Amino acid sequence: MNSAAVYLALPEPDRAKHLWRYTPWHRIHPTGKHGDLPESTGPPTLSLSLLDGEAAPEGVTLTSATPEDIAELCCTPHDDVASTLIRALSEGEAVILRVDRTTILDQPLLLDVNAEGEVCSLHLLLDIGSMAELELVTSMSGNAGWFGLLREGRVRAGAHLNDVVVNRLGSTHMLRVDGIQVERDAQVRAGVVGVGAKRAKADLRYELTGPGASIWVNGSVTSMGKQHNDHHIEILHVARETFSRLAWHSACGGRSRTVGTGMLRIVHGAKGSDAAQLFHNLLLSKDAEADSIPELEVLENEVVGCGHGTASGPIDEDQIFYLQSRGFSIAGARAVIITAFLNATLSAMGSETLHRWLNDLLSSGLPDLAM
Amino acid sequence: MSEVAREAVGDYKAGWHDPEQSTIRFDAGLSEQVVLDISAIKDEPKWMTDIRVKAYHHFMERPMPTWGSTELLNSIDFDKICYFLRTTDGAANDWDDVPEDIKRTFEKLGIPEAEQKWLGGVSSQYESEVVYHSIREDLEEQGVIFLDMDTGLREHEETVKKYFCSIIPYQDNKFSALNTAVWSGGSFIYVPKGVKVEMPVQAYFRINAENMGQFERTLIIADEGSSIHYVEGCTAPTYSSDSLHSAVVELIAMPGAYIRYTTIQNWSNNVYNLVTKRGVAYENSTIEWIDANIGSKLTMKYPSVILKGEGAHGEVISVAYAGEGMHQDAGAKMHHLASNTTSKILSKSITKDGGRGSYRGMVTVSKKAENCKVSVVCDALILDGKSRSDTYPTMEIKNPSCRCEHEASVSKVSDDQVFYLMSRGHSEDEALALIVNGFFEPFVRTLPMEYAVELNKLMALEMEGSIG
Repeated sequence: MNSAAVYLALPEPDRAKHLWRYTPWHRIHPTGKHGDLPESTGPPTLSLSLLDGEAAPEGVTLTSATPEDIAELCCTPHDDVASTLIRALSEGEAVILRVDRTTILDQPLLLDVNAEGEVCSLHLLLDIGSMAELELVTSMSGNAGWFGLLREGRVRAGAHLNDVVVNRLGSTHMLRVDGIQVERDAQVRAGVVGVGAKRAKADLRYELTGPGASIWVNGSVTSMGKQHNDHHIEILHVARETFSRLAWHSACGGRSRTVGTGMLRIVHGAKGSDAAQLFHNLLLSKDAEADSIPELEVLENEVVGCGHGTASGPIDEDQIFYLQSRGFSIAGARAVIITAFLNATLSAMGSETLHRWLNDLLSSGLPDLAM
Repeated sequence: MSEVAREAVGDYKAGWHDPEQSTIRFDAGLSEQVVLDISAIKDEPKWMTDIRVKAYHHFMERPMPTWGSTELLNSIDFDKICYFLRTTDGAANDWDDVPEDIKRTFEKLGIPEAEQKWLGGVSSQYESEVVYHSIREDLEEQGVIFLDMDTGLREHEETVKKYFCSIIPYQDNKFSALNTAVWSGGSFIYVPKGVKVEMPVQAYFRINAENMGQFERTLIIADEGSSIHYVEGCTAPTYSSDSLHSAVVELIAMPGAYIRYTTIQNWSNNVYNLVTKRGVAYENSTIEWIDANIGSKLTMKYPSVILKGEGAHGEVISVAYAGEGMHQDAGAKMHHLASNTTSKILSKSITKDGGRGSYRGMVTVSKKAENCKVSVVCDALILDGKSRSDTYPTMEIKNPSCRCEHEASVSKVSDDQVFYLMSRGHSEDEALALIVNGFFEPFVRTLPMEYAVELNKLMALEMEGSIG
């Protein structure tokens, strides 16, 4: 069965399900009708370079994926409606970013994804070779009406990957699905930076499949105007002695709505797992709304610890007062506090070079939020 | 108790049963006629009969929930349940008037002794109806009404009509519809303005017959500035077939009132416990749900508070224990509709021998509710590799001035703590019992001392042999 037939055979996801509660499927489907499979206006424009503009070095390739690559690196379930839709819109084609084993990069890699047209989609496979060490920034931009990004892949044994995805899309409706497997002793820092897109739904799934695997997921999301940002992060501990941390900071202004749902699942046998999730929401206007739902399912008792927490609130008036007493205007004080709040996770996404680049990127949108 | 019975009951101390002696027992199964018959037997006003019938149809049409333990829920055979069983002709006010076999049951459970020592009033429900009822004279003189719900409907019809189904309409969920259709027994309490009931009042619910359905309905109204502490306990015999307990409890705390509702649920492991509990708190009032779920096969219970008046406070402290074959799907709900309202949820659970403990909660803060404060804390202990713990909290905050915090943790019993206690001379079992009692301490300290002692003993019994 081809990808389109697989998608059309799936039922519309039930809103009663946690994943689709806050952004029902019809609100993120390109036409709003589950049974429609619109024609894609083509894939986005891709360019791969180092962050300083130099060409991608040896050991890093971006090519069309073969059917064997797709079969090996697909990590999302076959009955998952969102990933199946993106596969169908990509007509079974995929692009693979391959990093050879033991490749070590000093500069972050920048994969620029420019999405234009009515309906645009990309199926991107990641194959990070064992013992490789690199930082990868996937920057999404453009003004596509609808953009779907499906990223699947494996971080092989012992590899270190700082993987940051930046959403700088215009007034786009964006659907993003990640399915990443982290193998033995591999370390991943997954960063999500959201400033763009009119409506965004992301379903990010990480599976710790090898002993000693670890992942830090950091989110730094700003929502303004009437933006709707819905991120679901699922971390599955399958192997022993695995480690995960999630820190999510959302600043919401205007009439925006931000949703953060997390699922931390420790399967039976994943002894020695150590996992925690934290969601923080900073509410900046009376009409902004933030919902956080971190969930836990623990089927193993021999764990180091599993926990989650959420905190939501406005900017502390005492902090504003203090900064004003030091000479800041109200707007300046608010901007400082918001920047510090978002920086708490932004600075944990990778190297100093990467942080500076991300900081410059985020700072440009802050004056709107601070008003 | 015979050896065979002892074997079946195991360590569950309330698992014995007396021979069933009913004056009226309906055939198993639910129909509109059953609903009409229950209403006719109680000689109810027409409006109550009508609401029962409407609720029955809603129950039949409403699908089973698709969340929680769907497998266990779908295994309930509603046609095998007996929906009404009368054991006496009316509730006695004098202990001597209670039939001998029922009296023996409650004496084994220690109810008369507790009444004499430290309770303000007692209601004992056996199967479908309340069989014994009493209240201290001084409380009665102050205008406190403490009746079984059937008598409450007869003697205070207008009040019941005003509040019945006002907090939990029958359309709320499938099991509130079932309860509204076939309710029988429960408590009706009214505390007048400014009256503070210093001693707790207690209701005890006992299912004795096999395949029994108990559907009590409780309504508590605390008028302005009053206070009351209501305690309920539940047990049932251990049978090989299942029973169903599906209660509805509605609380109304008028401005400045205080209601604490404590439940010690220790149903046997063949009882489905599917309960809807909700209170509405007006200005500066407080509603506290103190909830212990120690027994049952499946519990789905989420006590909730609608914080409707400015300055109202809601609190849920719940503990759950899930052993072999048990699923405790418990939680809490807080709905902040007014400004300056505060809520606190503390949930603690222990799972062992393949049991499953789930916290499922919801907090909503409406757009108009300024300066609310919310705190949700869930802690779970998993004692072995076969058991499971889940946390499903939902928070929907529509007002940015709200300060909202949630935290949850799942862990095992610390080896260091056990080692330390053993180095001080405790056995492994004693060490574990102490740690578990410490884990439950925030809950236990809210209980009257007699309950606290019993609960600690019960948990020590459950924890025997849990290490090693």
